[in-house]
Amino acid sequence: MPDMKVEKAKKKEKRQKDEEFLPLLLFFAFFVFSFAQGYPAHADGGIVLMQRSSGPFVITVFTAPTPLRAGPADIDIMIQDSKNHHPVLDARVTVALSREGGEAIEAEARREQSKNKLLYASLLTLPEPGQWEIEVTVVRYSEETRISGVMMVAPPPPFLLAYWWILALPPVTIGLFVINQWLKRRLKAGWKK
Amino acid sequence: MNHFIEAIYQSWNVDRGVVAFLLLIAWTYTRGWRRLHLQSPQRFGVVRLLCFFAGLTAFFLAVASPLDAFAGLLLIVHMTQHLLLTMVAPPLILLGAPYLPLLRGLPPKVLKHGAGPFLAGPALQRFGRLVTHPAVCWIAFALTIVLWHIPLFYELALRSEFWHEVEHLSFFGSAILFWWPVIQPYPGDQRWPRWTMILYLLLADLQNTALSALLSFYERVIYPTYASVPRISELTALEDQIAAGALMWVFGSLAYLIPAGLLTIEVLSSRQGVRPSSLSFQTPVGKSRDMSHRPSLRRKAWDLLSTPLVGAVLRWRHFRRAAQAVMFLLAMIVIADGLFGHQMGSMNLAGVLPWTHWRGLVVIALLAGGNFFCMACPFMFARDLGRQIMPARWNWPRQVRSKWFAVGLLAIYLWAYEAFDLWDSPWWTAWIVIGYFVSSFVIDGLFKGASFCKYVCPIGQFNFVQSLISPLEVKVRDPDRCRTCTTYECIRGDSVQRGCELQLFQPKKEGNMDCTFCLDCVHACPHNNVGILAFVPASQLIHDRYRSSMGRFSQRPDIAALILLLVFGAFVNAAGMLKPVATWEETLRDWFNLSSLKPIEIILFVISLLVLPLFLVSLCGTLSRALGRIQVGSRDLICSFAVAFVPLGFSMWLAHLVFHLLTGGYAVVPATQRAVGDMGIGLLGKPDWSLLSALPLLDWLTSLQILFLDFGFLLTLYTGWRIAQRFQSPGTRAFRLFVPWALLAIGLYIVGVWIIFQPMQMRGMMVH
Repeated sequence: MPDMKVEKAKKKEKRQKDEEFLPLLLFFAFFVFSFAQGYPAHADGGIVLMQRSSGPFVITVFTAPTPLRAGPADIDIMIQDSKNHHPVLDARVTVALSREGGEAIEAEARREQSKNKLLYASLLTLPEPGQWEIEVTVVRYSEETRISGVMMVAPPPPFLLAYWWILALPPVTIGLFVINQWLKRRLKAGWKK
Repeated sequence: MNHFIEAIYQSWNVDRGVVAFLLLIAWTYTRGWRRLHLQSPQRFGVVRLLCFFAGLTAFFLAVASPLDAFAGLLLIVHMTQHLLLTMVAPPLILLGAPYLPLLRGLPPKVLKHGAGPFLAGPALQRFGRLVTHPAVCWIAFALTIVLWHIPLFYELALRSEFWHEVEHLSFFGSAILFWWPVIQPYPGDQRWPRWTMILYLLLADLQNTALSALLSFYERVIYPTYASVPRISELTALEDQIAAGALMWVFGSLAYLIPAGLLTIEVLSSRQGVRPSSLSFQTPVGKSRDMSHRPSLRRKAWDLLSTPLVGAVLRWRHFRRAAQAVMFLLAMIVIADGLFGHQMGSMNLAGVLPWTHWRGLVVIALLAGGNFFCMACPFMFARDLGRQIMPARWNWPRQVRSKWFAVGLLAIYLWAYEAFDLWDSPWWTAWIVIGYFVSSFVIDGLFKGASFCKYVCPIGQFNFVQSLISPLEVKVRDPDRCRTCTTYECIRGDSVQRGCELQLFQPKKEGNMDCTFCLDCVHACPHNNVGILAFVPASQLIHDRYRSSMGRFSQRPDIAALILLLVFGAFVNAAGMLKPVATWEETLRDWFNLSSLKPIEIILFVISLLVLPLFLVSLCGTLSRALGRIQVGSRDLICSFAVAFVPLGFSMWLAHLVFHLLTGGYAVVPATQRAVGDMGIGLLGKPDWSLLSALPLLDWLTSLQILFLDFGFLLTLYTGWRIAQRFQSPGTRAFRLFVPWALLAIGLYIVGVWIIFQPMQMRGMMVH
């Protein structure tokens, strides 16, 4: 009888330990949900595509990712006063992309979308690779100015590449589990010896 | 200019993944530290906790503050970020002696069975000793710093977000290694004499001086990016580089020389030159607290009913009735709009509320809590009414006291869903709801107990099966108290409160199968000994204990059939909305020269939901039996392993239904506006149909769906492995037993991933 009691107490303790898992699981769920959102087209600049003085402004256009590929893209604009190079933060900025014989895309660039709040960011989806015309229009009070240029867009990365880390999760976990079980068996064998 | 400064302060980049990770680390450390502090308050004092948190804060500031946003525009800002990652965060984290607190903070099972074998393995121990060797640490850090400052690599990091993160991780990781022998966090041993650490730091300072001098005195801008970006300060690109070099020189030197000075004092003041405590806060030997009186840290299971607000609401005697009234009202709205409203699914509340919102919310509730839909079941009113009007005195026929009837109904429902496009037919949806009310009224009006819930209701069966992996369970708080109970109110009830209608005897109840979360047992128990307790999801699937009112799962082919129907049904149901599948059906129709798709749909449905599962499962059972050389029958094996597939099936339902909820969630607004407008009430204005496509296809949704499937798949494999181990005996190989079932799970996982990557057809919906 005492043995049974000890066993029951052990079982009870084991169960209680299991139940401690919940807070960790909640954290884990939060963690998973956070990571599931992946890496958004990070509106933080990227590399300088062009820099032009136009009217009262110096306009710098950044693009990301590098190299620019068909798919989600981040086009950011910094506007500076051409006299003192102070950033201009109250302009209305529009980005227009067009492709000869192809479709045209227009989007407003806004500071709220940008990580760096000195930049105006527009998150766009480039439908196809090739050479694209880009035109940036800046309006501030009664002043309106625009600059234009050309950007090369590379083909999109392989489809599965975007999901590599999620698809790699099961084989990696299984691999770790196999090593874990193998180590456990080795340790047990070692103790027996 | 104020706007300029304001913009800088607003440029935080708080990545939820990083925050979640840091919170997880902080929580684990605090948990472990709390335990160790009670055992050894001097060795694990408050200062250690503060240091660790200061280190995490420094790391957070480096990667999330405006420093990160402006690092690409100013080299001096980028340098500050790197100094935080190499000189501030790592030593502070190591001063927190994180090794033991992080281990003790893990759940005991994870520590023992998960991390334990790795940590105890000689290979990892050898590796650990190698990488914490002072020479290796110094070289790793110096190489990392020098390599990343070569323009080729530095530019790569500036151009690519991915490489920028790799750069930061390598800085931080190598800095942890660098500071390891200097701080020697407990319980690390001393590899080199203490005085050598002074030389170690001075050599690092020399390297730092050389690099910072190069930045400060070079006459051209080393990194072209900084020459091309717009200048946002008075500094030119070259002045910026000089300032960055100066910062690295001064701050870096201080970071090396101050510890070197402290070490010198320690070495000189110690006769043996053995490490004293100024850098490590180590406790003198023999001063730890007497542990015999330490308070117990064992925790009882978390109980939802004991939480302050939610618990009080759930314990309220009329809560369930109130929740049911709300659901009843919604059901009435669905019926009324389904019968008399616009007959396009996405414009009608009968097309939107049940198929988009209710299904999505049910699976989320099952994942996050438990079977809360059955708790708020609107059909309870019809059941109670039936009992009052009709005799309700017969027992449910013994011949059908199983899940077979429900399995049949569920199969018909899954077929009808495809065959009649139920999601796009408000009229049919309304009649299904009416049918539910009538059948629950009749069945519970004639038969005793909750016969409708236990043996008939397809929704209930879905919830029962999926809630097997929910984290909450209605369960006894203290089993010892039940041993002294002789009245058994939890199942018998008393004069005021009925007991469990589904005949689940609380002390013998295992898992959520057949539990409607009605809380009758909670209210009936005179000892207040039943709660909604937390437990490890899916842990109930592994064992094969006797379950009250059900027996053992391994002896229940009807439950196995129910589970497998729902597992394969999840894939068939999701595949039904794919464009390639629809094209395939049309090709078959043309091939056989048929005028309608219906015969093709029926044949495919029968094959994919009945014939194929039966064949695959039988094959697995036979192979498993043959490979494992086991004496158990195939039927018992199938019944045992079927439960392992619950997580995979659930993850497919979750991926599918959450997709609809997230992409079509706004559809309820215009549908409500239309329904209210049809009644002549202009309160909500004209329907804004643009909202039907207001939620774009979120770019992270596919990742989330695959992630759900990943976890379901892994949990299925793990459960299957543990079930196979139940059969382990000297003559039986658990692994061989497991292989056929693992292959089936892999096959289903691949199909699931394929489904998620396919374009959706969304028949009858205006949401794309």
